[in-house]
Amino acid sequence: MHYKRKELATDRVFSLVVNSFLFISLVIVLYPLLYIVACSFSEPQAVMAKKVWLFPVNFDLVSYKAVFTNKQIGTGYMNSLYYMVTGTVVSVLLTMLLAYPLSRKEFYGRSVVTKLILFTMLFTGGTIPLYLVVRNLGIYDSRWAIILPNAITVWNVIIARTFLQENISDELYEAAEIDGCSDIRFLISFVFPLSGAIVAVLALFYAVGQWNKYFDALLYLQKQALYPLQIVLRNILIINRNTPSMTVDVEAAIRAQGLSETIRYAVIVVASVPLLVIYPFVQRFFVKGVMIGSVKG
Amino acid sequence: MKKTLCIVLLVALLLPASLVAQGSKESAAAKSTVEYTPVGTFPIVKTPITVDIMVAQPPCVEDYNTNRFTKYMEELTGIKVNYIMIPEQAATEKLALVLASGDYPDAFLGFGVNNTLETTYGAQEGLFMPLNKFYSKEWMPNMMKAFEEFPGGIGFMTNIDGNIYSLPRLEGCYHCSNQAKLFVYQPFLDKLGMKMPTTTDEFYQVLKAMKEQDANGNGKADEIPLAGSIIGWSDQVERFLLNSFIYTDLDTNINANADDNVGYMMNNGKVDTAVNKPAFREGLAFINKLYKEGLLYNGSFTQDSSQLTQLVESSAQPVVGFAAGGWRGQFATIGGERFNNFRAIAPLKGPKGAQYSVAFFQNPEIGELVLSSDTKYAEAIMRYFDFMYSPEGTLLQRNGFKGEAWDWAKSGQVGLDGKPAVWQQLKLWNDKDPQNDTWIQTYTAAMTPSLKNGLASKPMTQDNPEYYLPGNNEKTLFDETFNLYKPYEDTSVEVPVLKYTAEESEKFSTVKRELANYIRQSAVKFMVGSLNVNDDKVWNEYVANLEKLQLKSVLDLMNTAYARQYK
Repeated sequence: MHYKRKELATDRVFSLVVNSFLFISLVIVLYPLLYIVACSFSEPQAVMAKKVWLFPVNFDLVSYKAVFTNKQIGTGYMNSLYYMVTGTVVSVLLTMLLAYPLSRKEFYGRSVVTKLILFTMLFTGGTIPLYLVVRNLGIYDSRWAIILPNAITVWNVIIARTFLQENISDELYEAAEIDGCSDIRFLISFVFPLSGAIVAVLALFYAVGQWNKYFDALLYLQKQALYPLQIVLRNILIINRNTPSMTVDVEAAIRAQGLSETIRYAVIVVASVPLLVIYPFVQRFFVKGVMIGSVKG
Repeated sequence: MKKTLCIVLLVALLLPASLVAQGSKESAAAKSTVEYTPVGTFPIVKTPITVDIMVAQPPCVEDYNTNRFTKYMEELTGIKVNYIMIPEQAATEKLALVLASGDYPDAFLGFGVNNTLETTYGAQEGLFMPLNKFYSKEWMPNMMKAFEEFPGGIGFMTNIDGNIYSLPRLEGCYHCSNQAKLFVYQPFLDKLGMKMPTTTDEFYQVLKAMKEQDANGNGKADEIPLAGSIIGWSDQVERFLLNSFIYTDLDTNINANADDNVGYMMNNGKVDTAVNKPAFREGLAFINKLYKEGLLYNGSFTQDSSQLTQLVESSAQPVVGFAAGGWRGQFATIGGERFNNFRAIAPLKGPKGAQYSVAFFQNPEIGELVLSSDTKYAEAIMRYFDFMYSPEGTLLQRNGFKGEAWDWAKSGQVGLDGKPAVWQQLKLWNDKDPQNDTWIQTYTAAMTPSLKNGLASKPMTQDNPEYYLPGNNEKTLFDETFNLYKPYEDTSVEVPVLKYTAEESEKFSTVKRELANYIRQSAVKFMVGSLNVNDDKVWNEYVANLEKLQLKSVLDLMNTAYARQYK
């Protein structure tokens, strides 16, 4: 009895320490985010005077007004969503199609292909050759220019290959083959259904990458109607920076001087919300076991 | 099996691309010869033509093709310009990419093509067209007239190979020519009963008094007598203070250009540097003393101008006494109480009598319009843009339509410089809201000093309570510069812009960068005391290191370039 109570006491101390450690970590991670949200809803002058620390001071939607009154913000949002969804589907599909053959030991020339792929991780042609490729493929200034170049990230291929190697066992393949299953059928009926976890991971990586894409759009797009959100937001930031220009509209200058402080916070919020919304839905795949029951004995 | 799979996948991949490729093939239209009207008359061409110009688009212009000023130009000249817009931020990369792709527009507008790029793409690769022929009254009368107010401007535009590859942006910003300014919070001086300091000694006394005698009267020793920032438009205190010891054009921001503002100066007709002179050391020692005694805010060498603004504005009572900046908006909320009460002070007289205001030459901005060497419409494009260099063209491009945004001055109106005004502003210039009436930011225009200072302003004296309000900012800045800084400017000490050959730039770019970084870092270290400026050993080591970093060869190079251009 005595022994058991002592156990409980140490347990309690232990969980107290762990919980307080986790709580402090939470505060450290959460505070900057809350600060950004608070600043974005505050009056610019209050932010400039460092009066905000946790809650919005003199609640003011002026920063959001500046963001959402921009004429391009709507198309920017829709474009970014389009690039994210389409780009993610294309990228995940291509990555899986590349990773699966590489995960099979009997694939002829596997090491050569792997090495070629790895080579691109270390060496690239550079911006100009890539630009020329995009132009000569005829996808310059079209949505494909954002989706196709860099559709496959080598790092993600390696992750996917390793996952498939470890989780799609040879026994499973052999069993299917004996029953007369073709390669493509195996890919569709076995590999994809069993790879929910890795597909979710890849989708998240690619979606975040597509959502944040900025430089590709600057280089390969010309039509304003195709610009993703990031370029629009960047323009909003630039237009509101404080410039020492002359004979200016004083009211506009005063507004911009204050806004240049808060608008960046509003822009962060606007740009992050879609990803924050998606994340919980994808996250559940990370913890779920998928291979239970596919091979017995 | 696998082979088929491979082929199927490859086809699936390439199919959409090839479809798109077919769609975007352009048909090369046959170009007919152009018939021009005599120079100086409009329209420029007898039958309308269309040219392609790639333009770096700032966010404040919605669409160059539907812009009202563009339409105006089209009606006036008969030339339809198809503007290909690319975001301003990507201009440098995009220029390189487009030139590499071999598919050029007729011209590039607003790319800020610098000297090095002009040498590469113009002199070496021949992708830009030399425009020497057009730099004459016969072709571009308006631009040549504007150049009269920029002496040496055409020499400045000329590349080292003798050709001119671009059209300039001509902007005479009078107050920018002496931008290293220092401002004092006047109520502090009044409270302490002290006069505006005129020498470094008096300055030191005022700083000390501000700190010790509770200048803001709140009973707390929270005053910050002097503050600046390292990132911002002439926000660095040393830019102002060192000039009471020796003429020093030094920007300590590590990211600043390695060619300019590194402390180079003219010394008896030769390029020399201030940074190894004993007087420079005295200046650093003076600032170090202020820093050690807590008179100079210790964040001044790490913060940027928005943090400086927070420092000035964040406290309930004002705390900052002196602040450095190109204008008051660098460190105070425009139009706020503190903004309205800061006053510029003239360069201080040093212990040995040095008293300078650094001269910033108002040179043309190079590379605003460059022509592809294979364009067939050079004459048309040149005449189209020449109109924009006239006062009317400049104001139309920059401010908007006559009668709406601006008009010629009425008789009796007075300009900023006290002379009869040339024009008046009806609508304030605003680059903060996207619009489609004008181009707002001028690329090819001439805001000459006479036009800029010819802006009608309300005549008022400094006693008028409205004098220091932001609405009168233009006039305040002009007066401050004219009265307090111009008298101490000595343009013969400032090094004019030097041009280097391709080999010279290539050979010295790393050397100059390393040298500039070392000078900038050391200056800050001396000022904050991490290098002891009063220790002869440390100072001698610094001077020796400058030599190791090839200071002498850099100066020799600059002297060669100087002799080539100016003798």
